[in-house]
Amino acid sequence: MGDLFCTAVRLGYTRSAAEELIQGVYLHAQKSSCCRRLTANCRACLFSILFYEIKLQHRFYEIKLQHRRSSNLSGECDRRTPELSHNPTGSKQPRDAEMLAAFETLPLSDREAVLLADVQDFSIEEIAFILETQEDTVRLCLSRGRKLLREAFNRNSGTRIRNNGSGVERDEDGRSNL
Amino acid sequence: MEEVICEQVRGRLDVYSSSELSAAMSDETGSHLEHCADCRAAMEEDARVKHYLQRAVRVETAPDALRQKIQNQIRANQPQAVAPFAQITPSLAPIFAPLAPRRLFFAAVPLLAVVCLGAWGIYSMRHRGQSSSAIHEAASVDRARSAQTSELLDIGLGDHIHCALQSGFADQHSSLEEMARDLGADYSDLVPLVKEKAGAAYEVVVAHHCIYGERRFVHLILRNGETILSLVITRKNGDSFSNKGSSLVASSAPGGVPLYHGQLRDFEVAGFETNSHLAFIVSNLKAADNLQVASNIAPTVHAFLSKLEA
Repeated sequence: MGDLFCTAVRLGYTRSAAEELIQGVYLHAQKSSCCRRLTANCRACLFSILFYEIKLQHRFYEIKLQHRRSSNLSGECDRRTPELSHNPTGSKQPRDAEMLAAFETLPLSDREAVLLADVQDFSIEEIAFILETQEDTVRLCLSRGRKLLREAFNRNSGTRIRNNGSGVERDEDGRSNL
Repeated sequence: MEEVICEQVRGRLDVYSSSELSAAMSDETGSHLEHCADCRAAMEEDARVKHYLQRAVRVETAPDALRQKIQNQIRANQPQAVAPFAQITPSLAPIFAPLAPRRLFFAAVPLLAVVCLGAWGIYSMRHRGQSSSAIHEAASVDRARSAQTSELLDIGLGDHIHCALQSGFADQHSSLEEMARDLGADYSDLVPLVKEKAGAAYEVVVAHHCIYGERRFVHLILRNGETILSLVITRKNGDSFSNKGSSLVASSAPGGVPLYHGQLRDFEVAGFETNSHLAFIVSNLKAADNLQVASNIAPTVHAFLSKLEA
């Protein structure tokens, strides 16, 4: 449950919206019997439902926004869509804030793949199942996401860890750590 | 030369760390890493970024109350098997509640075994007289085809039973807005189309996505008094009526859509397919009536799905 919760939060849900979402996931799992069938990989199944619900919510609010725009009912939209909720001020480690800021610069598809692979330790096959996509697509998102994350993190933390492939690590002042 | 190798190795560090390289490639990368400090540093850097990410994401912990809320919610949605325990000893109900489904399961296993043995006995007695190998062969091919088609029809039936009947969705009544939201952009237009083709007597009470037995479904539940009818749509995932024999083709719907149908577990099921989807109409109607509704709905749904696939 904790893993589902932190994943939802990192994908842009506020804490209360994430709570609501996770409750919905368990309700869905209970009703669908998906987890009873997939006892061997119940965790992947729960994540699959989580991402499924997220996708549905995004689609619903997209339709609503489009409808509002086309009918010009109001200049302001009813945005219950997940908002980026987190400034990383709750982070205890100084690097956490930089990492989260870097993470939030990634495209959504890359963020999802990196979260599932590097934080939740799912295999490529499991991620493809969870995101309902091809394994090659997952590999692509993962490789691109990791690269972008590394670059953004290094930029944010003010270090240049990889100096054009030379492997020279430098601190904030640009001094070599080698 | 060495730089080229380093570049190649770094290009596959991702795959190497997730153990997805072939054995030979993995050995080659491993031995390069042993003597190349720069590439090793690059790999360690990747691991460090991963570690920072894990730590940063996991800072966010779920509120303690959430677990309790979910447990309460699960209890509230438990099947009625809990009720007798609750009536006898209300204070012990939470203890017995998790046992109830298991007790039912253990009671059902021997019963099922007896039924299967009995059915097998009757079946073998009936077929003992047929010694001709040609007849036997033809019959077994027919049975195999029929079984395969039934297996496909069972996909739709399973979701109907589980979702519309057992989970009680047939007794619910969603608004059009809820149905549009639950179906999402791709499928929300199905509701008015199906309603129109099913006829005025039918009302679409629920339209949503659901999961049953490793498959995802788009599921519309229609009611006409005591009649509960489901339109169930799922991705083919390699299954196809045309691959699995045509012994149960009943007719072509007006649009030339072949319909496969049969009676399974007291339900009438009709099915058809598009390039990527399987669709089923399942109900407790009589065979001819179910087929009539399926013939009305199938061409429209077929056209809708084909458009979606294009």
